[in-house]
Amino acid sequence: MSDRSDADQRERQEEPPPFWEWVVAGIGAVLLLATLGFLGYEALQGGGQGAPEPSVQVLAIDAQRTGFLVRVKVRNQGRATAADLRVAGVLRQDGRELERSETAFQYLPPHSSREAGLFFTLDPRRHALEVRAESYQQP
Amino acid sequence: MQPGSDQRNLKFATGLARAFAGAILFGLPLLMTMEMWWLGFTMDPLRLALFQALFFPFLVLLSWHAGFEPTFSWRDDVVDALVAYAVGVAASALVLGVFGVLDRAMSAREAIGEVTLQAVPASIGALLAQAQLGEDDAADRPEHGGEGYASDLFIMAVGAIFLAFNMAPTEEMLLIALRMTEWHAIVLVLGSLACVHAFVYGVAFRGEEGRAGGAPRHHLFLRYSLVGYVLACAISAWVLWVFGRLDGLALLPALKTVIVLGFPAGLGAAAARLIL
Repeated sequence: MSDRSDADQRERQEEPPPFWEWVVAGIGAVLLLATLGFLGYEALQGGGQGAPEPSVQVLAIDAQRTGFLVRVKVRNQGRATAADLRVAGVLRQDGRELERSETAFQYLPPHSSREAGLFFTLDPRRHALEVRAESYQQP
Repeated sequence: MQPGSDQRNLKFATGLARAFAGAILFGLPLLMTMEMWWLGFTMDPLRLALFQALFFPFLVLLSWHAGFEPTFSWRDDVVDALVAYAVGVAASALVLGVFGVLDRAMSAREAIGEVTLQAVPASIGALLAQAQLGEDDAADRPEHGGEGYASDLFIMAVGAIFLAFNMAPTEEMLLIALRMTEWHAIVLVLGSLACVHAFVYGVAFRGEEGRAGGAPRHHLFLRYSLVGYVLACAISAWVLWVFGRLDGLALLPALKTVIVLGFPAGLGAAAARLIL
C-alpha cells in the first residue's frame, strides 16, 4: 500500500467514507457487543463450575461380519468439561457379566455431544446391555 | 522474437522457483502438523470440496492483488492462481513424500485428500512469495490490486486466513477454550481488539501522514480495527467448521474456541496490512 501518491491520499481523505463502510462497521459492532453480552451473561451464571453430567444414548446396534457394533452418543449435560471420559458397555445374563467393551472420549465440553462405538462378539440384542460413563478427568 | 521469448521464459522459470520456495516456507508448519495429516482423511469430503471450491476464487483475487507478473486481466489472474495451485500441490506432495507421510499403504482417496488440503496454504505461499521476494522494483509494478476499503478488508482477510489455517487443526484451540472461563474469554476479546487496533493505528501513521491527520481515531477503530477483528473471528469460525472442530459443540464452547483462534487471526489480519 506504499505506492499511493500524496495527492491521491488527500483526495481520498477529503470525501467522507461511503455509507456502506459504516454499515459494515455497524454489523461488526453488533456482533462484538452481542458476543461480549453473551459471555458476560454466561459468566454471571457461574459457568464452568460444577461437574460434568454425561448421559449415554444407544443409537444403534449393527451386526457386522466379525461381531456386533453398538453405536452410542454421549451428551454432557453438566456445566463442566470432562476430559478422558471413560464409557463402558457391559453385557449381562442372569446377573453375570459376559462381555465388556470400553472407549474413552478425549474432551466432552458442556452441553456438547460426541459419538463412539463399542464392539462385541456376543449379540447385545440377546442380553442385557448396560452402557454408562465410568470416570473422567478435569482438563 | 526468439531472444525476447527466451527472456520471458527464464523470468517465468525463476518466478516458479521462487514460488516453490514460498510454497514450502508457508506450508511447512502445516506439513509438519499431524492433525493436518489426519484431517486429510477424516475430513468430510463434502466440506473439503466446498473449501476447495471457495478457495479458488480467493486465490484468483489474491493473484489480482499480488501475482506472478503484473496482470492486467482476469484471465492472467486465473492463470497465475492455477500456477500457484499447481506449485502448492507439487510442493506438498514432495514434502509429504519425503517425510513418509504419504506411503504406498495409503488409499488414493487418502493421498489425494492429504495433498489437496495441504496445497491450500502452500499455494498462498507460492503466490505471496513472488510479491514479497520478487526482485521487481515496486515502482515498476502497475497499480493492480485495487485501492479502497474492500481491498483493505481483503488483505486483512488474507492475513487472518493464513494464521487461522495454521492453528485451527490443532487440538490446543479446543483445549485452551475449555480451560478458559467466560471472564477469560471476555478479556481475550477486548485484548485482541486492542492489539489489532494498535497495529492498525500504527500502520495509519507509517508514511501516510495524510490519513492520520484527516481521519479521527474512532473512525479508524470502527472501520478497520473492529471490522478487521470481527472479520478475523468470522474466518476463524469458518475454518474451524471446515475442519470439523466445532462439530457437536454447544454454542458457548464453540464461541470460546472461535475467540481463541480469533486472537492470532486478528493479529494476522492487522499484520497483513503492514506487510502486504
